[in-house]
Amino acid sequence: MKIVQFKDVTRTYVTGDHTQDALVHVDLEIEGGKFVVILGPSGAGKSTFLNLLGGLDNPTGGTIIVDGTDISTLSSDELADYRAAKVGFVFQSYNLIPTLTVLENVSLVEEIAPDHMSAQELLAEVGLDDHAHQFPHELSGGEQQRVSICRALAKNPSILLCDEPTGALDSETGVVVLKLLLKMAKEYGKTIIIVTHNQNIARMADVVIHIRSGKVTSVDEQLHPLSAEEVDW
Amino acid sequence: MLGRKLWRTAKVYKVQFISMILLIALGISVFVGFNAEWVTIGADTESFFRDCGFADYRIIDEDGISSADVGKIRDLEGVAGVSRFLSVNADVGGSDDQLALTVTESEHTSGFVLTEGEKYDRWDPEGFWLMDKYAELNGIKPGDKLTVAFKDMEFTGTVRGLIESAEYLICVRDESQVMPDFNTYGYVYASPAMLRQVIGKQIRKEEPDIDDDIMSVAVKQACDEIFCQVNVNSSTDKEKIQAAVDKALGRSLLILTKDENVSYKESRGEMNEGKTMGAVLPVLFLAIAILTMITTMNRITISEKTQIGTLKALGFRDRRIIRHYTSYAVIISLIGSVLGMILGYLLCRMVMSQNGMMGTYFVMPDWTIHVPVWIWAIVLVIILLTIFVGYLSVKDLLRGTAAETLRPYTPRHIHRLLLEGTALWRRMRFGIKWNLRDIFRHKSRSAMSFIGTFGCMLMLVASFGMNQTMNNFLDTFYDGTAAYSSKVFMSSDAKNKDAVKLADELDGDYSASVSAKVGDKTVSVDVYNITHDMYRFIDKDSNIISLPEEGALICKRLARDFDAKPGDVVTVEPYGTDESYDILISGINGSLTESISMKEEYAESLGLTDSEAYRINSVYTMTGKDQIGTSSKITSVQSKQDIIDSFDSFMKIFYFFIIVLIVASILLCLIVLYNLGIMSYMERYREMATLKVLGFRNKAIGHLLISQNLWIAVAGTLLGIPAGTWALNFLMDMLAGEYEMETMVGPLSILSATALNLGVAVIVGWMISRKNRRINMVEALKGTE
Repeated sequence: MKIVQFKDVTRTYVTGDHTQDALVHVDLEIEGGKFVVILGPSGAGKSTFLNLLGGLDNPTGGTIIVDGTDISTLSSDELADYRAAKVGFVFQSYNLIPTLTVLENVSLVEEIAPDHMSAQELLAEVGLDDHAHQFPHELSGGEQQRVSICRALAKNPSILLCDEPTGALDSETGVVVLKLLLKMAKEYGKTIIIVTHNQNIARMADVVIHIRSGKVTSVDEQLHPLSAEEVDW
Repeated sequence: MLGRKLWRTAKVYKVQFISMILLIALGISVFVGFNAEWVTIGADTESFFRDCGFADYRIIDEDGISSADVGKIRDLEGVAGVSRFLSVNADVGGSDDQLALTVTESEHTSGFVLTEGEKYDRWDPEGFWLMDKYAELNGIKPGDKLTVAFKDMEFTGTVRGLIESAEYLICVRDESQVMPDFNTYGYVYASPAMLRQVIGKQIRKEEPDIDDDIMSVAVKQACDEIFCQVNVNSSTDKEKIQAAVDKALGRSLLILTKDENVSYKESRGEMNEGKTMGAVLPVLFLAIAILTMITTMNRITISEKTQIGTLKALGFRDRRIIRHYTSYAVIISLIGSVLGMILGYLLCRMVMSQNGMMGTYFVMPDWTIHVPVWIWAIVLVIILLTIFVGYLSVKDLLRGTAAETLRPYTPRHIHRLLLEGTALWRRMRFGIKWNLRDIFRHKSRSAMSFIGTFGCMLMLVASFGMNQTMNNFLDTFYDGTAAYSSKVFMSSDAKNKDAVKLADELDGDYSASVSAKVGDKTVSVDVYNITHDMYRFIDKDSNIISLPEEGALICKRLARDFDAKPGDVVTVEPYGTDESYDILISGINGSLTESISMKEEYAESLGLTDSEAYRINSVYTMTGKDQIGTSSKITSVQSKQDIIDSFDSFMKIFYFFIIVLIVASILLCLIVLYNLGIMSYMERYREMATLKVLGFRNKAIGHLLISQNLWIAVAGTLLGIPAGTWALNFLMDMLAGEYEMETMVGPLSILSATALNLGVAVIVGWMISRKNRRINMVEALKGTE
């Protein structure tokens, strides 16, 4: 089942007299439950793709259908509801609320997500139940990213969108976080889309999409993706 | 190049820059405006008093003061100037107006300042010198003829010059009139030569064949009788001058100090009121403005940390970077201060000018605004303080290495609150926890928001309370105590039996005021015959009471000054007599004047009604002013409405200050909250972007943002109520002690102040919360924490 459909999607940024095409006539479909990696050099349009899919940004042209809903026509509030119910974000810089504890950071989505999961259980699964009442600044980078993953999953979304989730971590911690991310996604049956420029992560994906200069240059399905242990980090 | 950066950075922080400039300007303008006002009153009236030879003492003898007496007073040690002085209300020929007809034998004592026309000539038998404002409003110019009549004496002459006299700085008909009416009442100086000529004509009319030599003696004698007052310039204290005069003249005379003269007393009163006002609310205003400005300055510098690090990494010396960032403070403080000084000057000018509000009260030639050195010094300190804060903020950031400075600023880590772990905390929604922790994480910002709303509420409560207190005061005295429609002032010709007869004819009540000495203080002993309920009395809590059968009521101020309680006895010595009376105090009352009030029966039992000093001078009646005929026994008739209207004019000045305070308070609160709200918005931008990404709607995020502002505003409002009430009590005690006002902060005042204060907080919150619609989630979440 196609969970994501990009139909002739364009995103152009205009700054004064200068226009920049971040995505140009992108047509793309993603199957549900897959682990998708989007690869490309800096400025290729990877993050733009993720932002449009996540409802953080609107396309200049074309249609984006997620789980049967055309999100390119949604209002600001409808997009907020979409983000609350359908997608979970994991950022390179974690983006935890510094004035909330670990548990509060995860459980705050309970106020907006209609089908949310238990924050306590998720934290226990990632081994952070002992840190539930600590503030983000009291945790290491890897621990903070695990909290971020929990928060993304707590909404019980269909899709997990990750923007360089290991970018701010050392390679060892990065692998741990990545393994956890994949394990959790698989366990809860989520589609996971990771934007990265790390080729190694791509080797673990079901589908690898290459983007260059705002265009999709290839979509490769990998019949035998490697496990994290098999990848030479 | 850094110069360009300076202006471009200013553009980035334009809201903060503009708000800091406005804060300084507002703080300084209110401070300068209020303080320059009282300094100007003091300086301009003082120079006017000096230029006119305003008398320090007024020696009064109802039987008249001879020229020989004047000579003896002149010879006393410490006496710099002496002049027999006559001031009577005279009717202007051809109109219903009155002029205070004034004769001073020496123009150096109780004289005037010439504004147009010929110099004063004491030998000119036809010379008049007329008040310029009255002349202007009535189209009278130098050279015009003028006739004024007092009793059966008619003074006819030519207006030689237009003048202003410090004796009539506040030109009112009598003490019951609060505000001058320059159109119908003014003053005119006649020369002593004209007075002698008029007296001579009078004598000649009565005795046509009188011999010239005898005539000269008769005129001299008549002058000795008509001049009941000698004005004296002397820096000697009252006790000494009283003793010296009593000894020199061989009798005890009433001596009034200049503090008892309405012009001097009221001008000093206005000055002291301004001084008190200037020392409390504007200082609070300035303090809030400075503190908010310091907080903002510090925050802006912190948010420039990476740029400061970049400049340092590029090789710019610390000194250059400090100079660059300190120049922001220099620009802000200079523009704000200049703007504040100009606004303050204009604010003062609106009050202190010929055509300004005080111009309806004071008549004086010089209205130069005085901004004293200490105000300039305070403004300089504010500028230096701002620069110093700017300097400290940059210096602090430059302390480490370039690499350290390059790292983005991370706010202080949050610590657990005492409330955490409680059942209440667990039940709270995340938004409440988020806001509570944010308040404590950014203590200085939160404290400033609190101080802003608290200070604004304090000023609003005090301002509304002042208004309510004043209205209550007017209601109490003019609706509560004065039940009459008209008050008739008896002339000095009227005998007591004439007044009683008039009261009978008008179905009215009457009173006598005896000026008496208690210790070294002059008090008015008021004796009332109340049979028609025309005049009522209030106790110290403003409840209506009756005069006691036995004993007298003493007003609150005298009770405080003499430490008198019910049951005590106060000894009064009426002036012009060698009598003394022991008065039993039965109660304490609220009164407009410093007085002791009693029933006529009690005065009779003391023998006071038989005293020479006892003279019935007022009759109160329900008969309309127009229905009371004129007679030589009546000086003037005043309707209650006249008094109320006159007070309304006086109140305009008062209301102006109240409105300035309310508007300035709201502006201050608005700027402080908006400035700090924007700061809070910028500092939480990333967190709000995160919430938005998670799926929180704009409205929900807006509520989070508003609620923090509102909590702080509610706390400021709640604590501002008692603080405002305290400030009001303090101010009313200092400002209007002479009126014995009962301070009132009723529900309406508190509700109005609360609605305005919270209204400002809600509006500012709404303005800021709307900004979250423009949060760019993608941009906000780039980079590292």
